[in-house]
Amino acid sequence: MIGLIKKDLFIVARSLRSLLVVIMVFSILALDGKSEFSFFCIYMSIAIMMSTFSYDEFNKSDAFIVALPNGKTNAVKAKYVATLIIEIIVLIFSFILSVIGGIIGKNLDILELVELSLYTLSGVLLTQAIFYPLIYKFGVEKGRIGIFISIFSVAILGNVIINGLNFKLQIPNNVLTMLDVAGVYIFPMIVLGLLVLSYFLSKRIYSKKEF
Amino acid sequence: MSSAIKIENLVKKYEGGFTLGGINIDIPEGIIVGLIGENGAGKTTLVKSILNILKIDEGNISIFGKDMNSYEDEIKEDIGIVLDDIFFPEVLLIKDLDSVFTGVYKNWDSSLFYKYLVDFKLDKNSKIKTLSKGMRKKLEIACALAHNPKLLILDEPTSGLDPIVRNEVLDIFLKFISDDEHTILLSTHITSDLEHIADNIIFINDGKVLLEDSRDNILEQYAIIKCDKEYLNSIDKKDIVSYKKNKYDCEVLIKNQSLARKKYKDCVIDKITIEELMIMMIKGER
Repeated sequence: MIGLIKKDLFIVARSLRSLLVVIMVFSILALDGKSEFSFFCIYMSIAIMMSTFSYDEFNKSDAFIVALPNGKTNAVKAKYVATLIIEIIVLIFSFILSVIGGIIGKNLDILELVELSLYTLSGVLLTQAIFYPLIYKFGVEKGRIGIFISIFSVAILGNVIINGLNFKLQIPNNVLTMLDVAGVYIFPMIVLGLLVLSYFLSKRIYSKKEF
Repeated sequence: MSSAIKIENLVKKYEGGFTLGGINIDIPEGIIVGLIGENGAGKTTLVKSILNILKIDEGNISIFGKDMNSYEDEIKEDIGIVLDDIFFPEVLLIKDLDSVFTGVYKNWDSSLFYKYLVDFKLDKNSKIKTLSKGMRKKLEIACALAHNPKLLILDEPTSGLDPIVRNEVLDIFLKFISDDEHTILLSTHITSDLEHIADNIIFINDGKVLLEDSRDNILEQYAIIKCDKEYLNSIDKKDIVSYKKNKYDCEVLIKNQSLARKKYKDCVIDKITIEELMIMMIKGER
């Protein structure tokens, strides 16, 4: 499995060279202390991890991987582990830059940064937990369409339900604060659970595929 | 001699209608087997089925005497593969592959890999996508050989190579096979390569094995009678495998060359090449 993880990490490393200028510009912008920089970093990492699927598909690498020892069992596992590694590296990178930015801008709030980072990481992993089975099932191109359809469907459906029923939630402020604090720590746990479910679903889809 | 690859009653059906059907092949250790057939005959399907890339519908495949389904990962440690137009992403550098394969094969030999890179004049810092088709093929061959496999399964390994490099590659295959435990299954369109190196030939057409024999037997037994259209009618039908009517003459494929030379003394009987045999068996009338 290590070999396949390395393969994805090398793809990311080689792809990053072409994005170096963009990363540098955003890194400089981050030094003004705006912690939203982490959003840019981590959402860019989704696009980069998606590109590993595109490269695999373009070069029919899955057929090659399946022909290797342990390839069939490790292909999906390696992709999820590589994703976790990349997201954690990006998170650390963006966190450090945000801290430096906070020190320079004299508006450093470590707790707020940690909370924001955990939320962002959870959001990204949740997105990937949904995306990956779709990509394994339909391929990158069709999967992308499925991803956009599912995101827009959920957004529109949510909007219709909330507006249609004219919900007016009356939640006390102290409960909201509690939910906010608990959410920082509970949300990542839920997402990790969903990621594990997503892995098993992807593995099942992959095992039935022919290349 | 024990079997390197044994296939029994293999059936692979596609939804589109094509079926690789009832394949029985026994490839002994220590030889080079050439797999030939026209495009769409089922060569790649057979190669992919052997490697478990495709799921077979019926039959058994065993490699080195072990069942492929039960010992797949163990068996694959000893197989080197070159697949037609299928490889790792071309954004990678050549040197990245050393690191990747170190994590794939237990017996990966980095020094052997770099030796092949030097032999093939490949720069380790090049991106795969910058390589010509021939250079890329050489890289794939280097990767297939660098973990000291016992069996090479090669799908079109010499396509895109110039004659000199092709010759070098064939020499590498011959060197690989000099050890009696090593075996090569080589699927190719370049049938002249097989006349140089193959011990056995398997000819697939329309998903079925049409011919399986040693190269020497094939080239000694089969021949082509060149005659006019009237003479064709006088040839014993039992001797004819197939025939082709040209504008001015006929070509008749016969299986028993020595008998034909005695029976049909007043016409030209030419030795056959594997390419001619393939064309006559596919395109010839029966």
